[in-house]
Amino acid sequence: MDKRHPSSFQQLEKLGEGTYATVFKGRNRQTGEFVALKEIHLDSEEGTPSTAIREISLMKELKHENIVSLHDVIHTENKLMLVFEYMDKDLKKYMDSQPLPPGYDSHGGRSRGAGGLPPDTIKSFMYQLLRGIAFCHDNRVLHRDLKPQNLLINTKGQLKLADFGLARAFGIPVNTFSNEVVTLWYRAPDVLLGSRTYNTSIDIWSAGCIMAEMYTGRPLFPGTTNEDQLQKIFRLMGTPSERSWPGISSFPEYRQGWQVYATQDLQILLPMIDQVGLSLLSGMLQLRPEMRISAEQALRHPWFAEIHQRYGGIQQQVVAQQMGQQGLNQQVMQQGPGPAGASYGTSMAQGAY
Amino acid sequence: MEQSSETRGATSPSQAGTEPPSPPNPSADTGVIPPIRSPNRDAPSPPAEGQWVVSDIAPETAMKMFCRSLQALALVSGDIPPTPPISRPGTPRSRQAWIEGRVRSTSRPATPVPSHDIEAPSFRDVVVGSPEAHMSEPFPGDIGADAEPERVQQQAIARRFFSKRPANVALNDYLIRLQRYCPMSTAVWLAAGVYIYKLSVVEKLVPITNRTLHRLVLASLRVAMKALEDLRYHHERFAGVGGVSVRELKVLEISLCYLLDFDLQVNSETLYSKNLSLQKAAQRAVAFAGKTPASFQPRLPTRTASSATATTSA
Repeated sequence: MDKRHPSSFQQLEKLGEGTYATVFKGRNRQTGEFVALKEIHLDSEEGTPSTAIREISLMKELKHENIVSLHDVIHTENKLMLVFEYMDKDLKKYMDSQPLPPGYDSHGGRSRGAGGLPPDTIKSFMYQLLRGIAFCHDNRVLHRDLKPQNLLINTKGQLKLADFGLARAFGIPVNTFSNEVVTLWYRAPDVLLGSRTYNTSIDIWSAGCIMAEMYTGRPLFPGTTNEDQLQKIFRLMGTPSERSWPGISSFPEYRQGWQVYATQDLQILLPMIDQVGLSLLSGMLQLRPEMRISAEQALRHPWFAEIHQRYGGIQQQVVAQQMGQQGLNQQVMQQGPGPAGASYGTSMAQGAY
Repeated sequence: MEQSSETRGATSPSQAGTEPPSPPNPSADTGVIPPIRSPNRDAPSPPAEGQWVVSDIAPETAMKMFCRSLQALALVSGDIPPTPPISRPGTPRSRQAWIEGRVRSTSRPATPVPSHDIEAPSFRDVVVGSPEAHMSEPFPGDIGADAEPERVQQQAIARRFFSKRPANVALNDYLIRLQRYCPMSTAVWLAAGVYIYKLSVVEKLVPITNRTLHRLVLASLRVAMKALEDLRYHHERFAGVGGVSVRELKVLEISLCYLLDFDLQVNSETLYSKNLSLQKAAQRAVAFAGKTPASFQPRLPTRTASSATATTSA
């Protein structure tokens, strides 16, 4: 990694403030290219934030076009500056900036948040999201905080995973996992039930919640507490029992007296979704983690067939998800593959090591 | 909970209610705290070369293996002095300037581990010796037009791992103490081995000697834990158990990150192969030491001040 001078970047407006860092828009003085500068102070009570240690060490290895790229790390005595590729918006802001659908009054009660995104955009974003997730899982990394605020969108219509501060490697002999992971609204039921042996399927649950949110413009399960979150999930997905979910009573947060809800039809909540999309969504929103579809399987779902087909004739031999991505780049960018598109073929096959 | 710290930019009033809850803090989960008691002394001894599987060995076994390799390497390298500090007129910045220049920030709190067990009288302090590098010594991390060449910077950072004289606690006792008060997993012990292998054996940035051992293991374990685990001991606790000041632990951990260029992630294959290489390096060192007369003081090849000067002028 290059080590450059902090002043080789012109610092522009503040983009946001996180728990341990401030993010600025910046411009590379030599190339004129925009970047995002994440400034991390090192003198906190607990030494170097572990979020920073994770983010840098993981993102150095996870090079993929659906994961935001870390160009550089600049360190000085009391701060670290991470130089990321510049992305225009996060998915939350992107959704909020969408025009409201006709019939929605911007002052009415039901218009809180914007309307949903167009179906083509949702399909493209879901495909890219799942590709990013599949790459992490392939490299034995759990993201553990997928939410619209952590998915970044650029003007080319590319979506990239960001904020790996809570991510961690799996498959090594560590102590138990914490269940204080994933922002509440996107937290999988097994984690809410106190599981410490969760795996890649928790990221898939978050992806399912995000997919539904892209259709409605509103979070699917906006719970306020752990209990309330489970309640909201059960109201839609049905209250699980030992019969529908063998072993559920051995979870630490299992309760006898749960209100029993019947399973609702997702179609009623999401009238705008097509049947094929619905089948993918319900594959991701399975209460039982072992029943949830994997990212690899999801990418091969028929809902993405058109993404595969569009360019299927050109590269029949290439793995489905790679073909699809090439098609996607051209579809959304309208100007041929960008710099990210150039390396699409090798990044997945070779992995991060 | 009132205000999400992840909120980016302004939010229009009509959307205020759609801001998600604050981000989670895995370290806040007390369920990740392992039982804090004496390490399992019955854990099997370190296996012979290659006769172990990453997922099968106990943390204490990994600890013993780590200890044995490092002791052997330290024995053979003898005493290698640190490179003297960079002294140029104008460079040293005082501690005062450092304090004024910094901005306070908060990080997510560490795991709330009960702390009564590290209180007097049952808890006795250890001292790993005062550091060779002064607290006011300029930190060489600044990058820029006036920055030192990378090699010189690395040497200056390496000085921070040297004690003025060897610590008065044997490595074995020191590691047992760390594992007693801050239990760590097999992966953390093995990752610390990976880091030290890269830093000291492959890249030879900090030699393994009796003056560097304690600081090296303390920093490696701290960084491995932050990189790999949800459990995070309070900085104060880890520094107290390790026998260094809070400020010194902060400097050691970031220094190690810089020297390793943040290559901190491991998988079960690298945990195995790099630790095996560390074991082999130790075995070679012992075999070599056995063939030489006691008066002979071998030194690991290290980057000396003169070679650094040559690099600078080149």
